[in-house]
Amino acid sequence: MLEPEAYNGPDAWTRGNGPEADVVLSTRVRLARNVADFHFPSRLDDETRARLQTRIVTAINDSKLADDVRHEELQDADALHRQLLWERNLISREAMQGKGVRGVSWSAQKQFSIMTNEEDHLRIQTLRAGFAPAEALACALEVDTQLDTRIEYAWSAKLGYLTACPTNVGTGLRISVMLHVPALVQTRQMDKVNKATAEVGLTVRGQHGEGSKALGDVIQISNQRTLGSTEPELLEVVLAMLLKIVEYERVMREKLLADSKTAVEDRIWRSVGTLRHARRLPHEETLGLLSAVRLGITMKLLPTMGLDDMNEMLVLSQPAHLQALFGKAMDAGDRDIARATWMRDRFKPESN
Amino acid sequence: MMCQMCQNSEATVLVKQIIAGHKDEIHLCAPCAAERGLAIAPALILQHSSTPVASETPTKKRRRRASAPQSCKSCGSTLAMLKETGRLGCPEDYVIFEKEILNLLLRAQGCTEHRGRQPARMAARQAHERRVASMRTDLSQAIAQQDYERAATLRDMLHCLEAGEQGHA
Repeated sequence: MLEPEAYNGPDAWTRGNGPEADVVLSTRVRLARNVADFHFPSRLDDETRARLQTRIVTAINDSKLADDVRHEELQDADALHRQLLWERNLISREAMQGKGVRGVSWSAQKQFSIMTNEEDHLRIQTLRAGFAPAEALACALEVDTQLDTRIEYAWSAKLGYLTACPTNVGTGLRISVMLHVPALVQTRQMDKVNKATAEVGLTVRGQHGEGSKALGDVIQISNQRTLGSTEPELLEVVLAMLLKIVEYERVMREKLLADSKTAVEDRIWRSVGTLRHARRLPHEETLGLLSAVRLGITMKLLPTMGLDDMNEMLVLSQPAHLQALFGKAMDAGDRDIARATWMRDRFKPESN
Repeated sequence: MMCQMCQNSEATVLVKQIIAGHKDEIHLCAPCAAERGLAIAPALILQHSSTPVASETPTKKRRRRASAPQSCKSCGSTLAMLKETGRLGCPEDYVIFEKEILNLLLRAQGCTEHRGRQPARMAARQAHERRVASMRTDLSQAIAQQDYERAATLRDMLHCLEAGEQGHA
């Protein structure tokens, strides 16, 4: 059903060793591109989609972007496998749930993925652990440059790169940073954050983008506008504002600890207790518990655990990954039991 | 203060926009603001409009209807489809529904001009166009100065340049 390497430990971008790892989980950059003289994917029949996809994959292979590029046809993949790719951020929700010929090419080595026939013909994505927008952007632009010589992009001198949705036109660039901000949530600072980010053209969303909830105190901040600024200008806005928010979260963590150390410790240890002993763990509840533990690690209240463990647990406790770990399809009830079993093992007293 | 768009009428609308952290203020007259899809109380527009409203609005509407295309010949998209889904059918739609899309972009993105990177072929073409343009200027200067020898050389070079571009197209 699932190939072992697909779930054999998390990818580099999920490891806890990136810059500002105490607050920033990961950084993602994407570029939307379309091929000239083709309708946008939603208006293409499968035959044309397949022809276009072959052309794009050939360009990717010819460009020698990386030695380990792997391509998958998503329409042929089973639903669980697609969900696995989505939980790992290699593909979008639209690519997971969509219909018709579509695919993804990715390199673990260079940490990029290229979706084909999603909302746009190409979605170039780069992922990095921690706060690394400059590095992620540089890599995305390098992939873009390589493909540019082999594919003629849909382009206008006035509006730049033409995209299926006008909200992406221009640079087609979205820089997204995933942050863990329990102290800002607990001290009710999120309204302030929303306001400050909106003022500079950034937007705050839940972990899985548009319309999703901020589960486990994880939020995603990204640039809203794609037109009218150069790529370095957009990067600069993200860099400046995000470093402020990271610092703000740190200050609030200190304040929480100074004002109510016992309450903070109590919440963290209760979470460890639940993860160590529960017999049934729904996903949403688990995210809340892991958030408290993650906070405890960064506050040095749980000295024997590392952020690497936490990031891995966040990835692997998701529904599709859990089924892959246990090697069988499970319904929600069985997954909750399996998740609790797996967490009990990870949180065994001697390992902590 | 005069309107920064038409330089003709008194500016009554102040538009503040923040792009990539840079704050900009644009002063517009009511008709220019309305033309760019900025919502203003109707009373304000009436007050500053030089033409009586009763005659202006219907004519404008009729003219727009007559010139606005019903659908894209390439992909079959209509304006209604664009409004309903927020998505376009093909790159050509940006040309066909230009006016509506520019209005939408002004609202959603605060501007209508790309300033970022461009495909390599575009950079090459722009460099070529700049070369041709500067050579044309030189040519008309040479003719004005009655330097016909230089003009002839420039004309031949221009021919070569333009032939080269056609060869690439």
